[in-house]
Amino acid sequence: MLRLLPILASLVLLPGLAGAQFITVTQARAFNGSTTEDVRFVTTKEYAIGKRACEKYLGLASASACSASASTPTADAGSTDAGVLADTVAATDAGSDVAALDATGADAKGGAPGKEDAASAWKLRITVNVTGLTNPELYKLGVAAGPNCPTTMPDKSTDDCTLAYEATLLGLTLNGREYEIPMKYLLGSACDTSKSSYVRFYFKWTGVAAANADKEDKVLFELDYDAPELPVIDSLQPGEGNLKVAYTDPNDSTEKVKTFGVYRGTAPFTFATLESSGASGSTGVTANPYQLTGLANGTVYYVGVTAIDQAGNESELCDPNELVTGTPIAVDNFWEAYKGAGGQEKGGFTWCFVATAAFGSPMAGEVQRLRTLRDRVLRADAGGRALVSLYYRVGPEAARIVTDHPWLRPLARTLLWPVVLSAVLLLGAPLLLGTSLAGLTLALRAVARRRARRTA
Amino acid sequence: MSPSRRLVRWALLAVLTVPSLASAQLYNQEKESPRNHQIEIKFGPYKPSLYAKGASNTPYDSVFGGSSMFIAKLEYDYQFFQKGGSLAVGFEMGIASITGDGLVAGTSTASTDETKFRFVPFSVSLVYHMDLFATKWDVPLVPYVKVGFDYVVWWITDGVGDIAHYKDPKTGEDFEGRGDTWGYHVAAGLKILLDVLSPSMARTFDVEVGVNNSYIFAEFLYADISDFGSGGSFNLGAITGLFGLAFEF
Repeated sequence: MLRLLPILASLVLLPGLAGAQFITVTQARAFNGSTTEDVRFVTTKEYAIGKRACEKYLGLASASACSASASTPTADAGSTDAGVLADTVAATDAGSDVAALDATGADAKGGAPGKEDAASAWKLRITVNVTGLTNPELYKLGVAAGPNCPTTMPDKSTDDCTLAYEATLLGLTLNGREYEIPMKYLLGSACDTSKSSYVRFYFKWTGVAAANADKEDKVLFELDYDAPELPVIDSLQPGEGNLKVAYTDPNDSTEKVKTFGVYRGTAPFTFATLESSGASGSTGVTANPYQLTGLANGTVYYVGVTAIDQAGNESELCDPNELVTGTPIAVDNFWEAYKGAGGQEKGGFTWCFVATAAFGSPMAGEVQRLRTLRDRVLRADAGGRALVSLYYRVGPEAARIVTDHPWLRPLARTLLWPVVLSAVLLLGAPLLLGTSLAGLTLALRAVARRRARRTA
Repeated sequence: MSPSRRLVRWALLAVLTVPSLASAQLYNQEKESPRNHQIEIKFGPYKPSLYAKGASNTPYDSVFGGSSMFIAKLEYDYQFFQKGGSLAVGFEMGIASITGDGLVAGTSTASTDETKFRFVPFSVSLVYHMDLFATKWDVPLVPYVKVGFDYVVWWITDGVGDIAHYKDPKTGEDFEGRGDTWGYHVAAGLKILLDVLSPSMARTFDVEVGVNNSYIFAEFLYADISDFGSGGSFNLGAITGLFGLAFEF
């Protein structure tokens, strides 16, 4: 009875959802029971999985491109053959080990989960929106994964296509419905041959309006296990505490290199010795030349550049001879060149123009108002406090200018009056501020009216 | 000069001038909407006189190769008096920038480190436009003068884009490469009224948008921006020429 409730609810709440049917995958993520991570998004309905990700998802030891060793299993998470499992699914017609996480309205034929469904096994969690289903109408939903799934719902799994989920559903709008598919259905059992693999969703109409055409949609996963070639470092230019590395990417467009990695260390390193040598790096680099900063002048740095493709495969630094060395040097920027040549400018701001010097006395009313402005308004937030701090650094210099040039006092007072007036308005007379604004508005309106009359 | 060449020259001048005067007359026959405001957009080279005081050589030239900065300015004028020309108070803001190569320390050799010098000038001016030529005598030329005060915020960046610092080797004092400087300026220029090129379009511009006159202009600028001669300041002033467009409304 409980299983009928969603159906009954749908009959009441979602009547007549006739029209075009659409299925849209909104998200694909990897999930292992405790951790969720994004699968590399390429474009709409297209994702990419690289070698390292594949090895992680299948529980295989990571095999470095620098060594000849092949991927070797380290866990039993993917030991069950996907085809056997799928055959079991088909034979028993008992659904599968795929969890439909939101089974509202579903009459899913759930079976006992396979042993590869252990909580720690990586799964592909796909979020799907389905709209425009006719209600009430029965249809079959199928989800299959693999490199070679047909465009119509298969009756059973094959070597290249695992029928991962099958259920009879009543017509509903299934927004945000999530399906979890074991990664091995998509990836196979090894991360050795690059290929395209798909997750396909099928709708097979079985109800009264069975004339409805079956619907199918797919999400492409590019399984790319090939790392791009190492970029060639063209130059390493030294600067003050920095090095600019310029490089050329030898990979053609088929490699789909998206970003680069730039690594540096004070001793030769490879990827295998990256941590032990104290080297570090940045990935996701797109700038070329790229500036390495925070370096010490006079220290020799070893620099290497890698290419990273859309699947996250990174060309590996296997040989220290692939690194280039550079040494940051002391450089005089314009300010240092000016000061070094005897320039007297000291920098700093005189924005307040030192009211005390301008108004002649620290006790002048105007100065008091500015002090109140400082204490009540400026010091109330971080930006204001920074301004006050700046003022105290440069205040003496500004005061000296005004004191050295007495004829500047009237000018300084004139320039300060707007600030003083602002202080008065902000602090003591909000009513005056409102009145002034209202007066200004009325005056502008009067001018506009007069101009309109004159124009007419 | 032979009489025939002189005749040709006068004829050419007449051909160029008469249509403009006629157009200006035609334009002025129609009633304009009131005008009290003017906006100017102007550009030009700007090479500050940084070393008038203080510095013993020309690091500006060494670092920036002697090039001028490029300055862009926007000015708004409010005309508060319109007899015998127009008198206005003008408010102006701009930006100037130049990028050069830092020098390998202790040498005059350019490095690959970029260093940038930028400033944002603000000014307030008293502006007089002698627009009687255009309004009374149909000559589409408006000479003008400006005098006013400047406040300039400036900053210098180092090779990684941070604000530059200089540590005095003797005292260890740290000086930050940013600040502000006050000054004054005088300027004179000539505006050419564009409305005479197409009076009907200018009229439409006035009726539909409210812009009475459009100009192109050239301006000679003398600015002394050195905290009024303070020996301890940059002189960001310059003598230069600016060019731009102006709209009166």
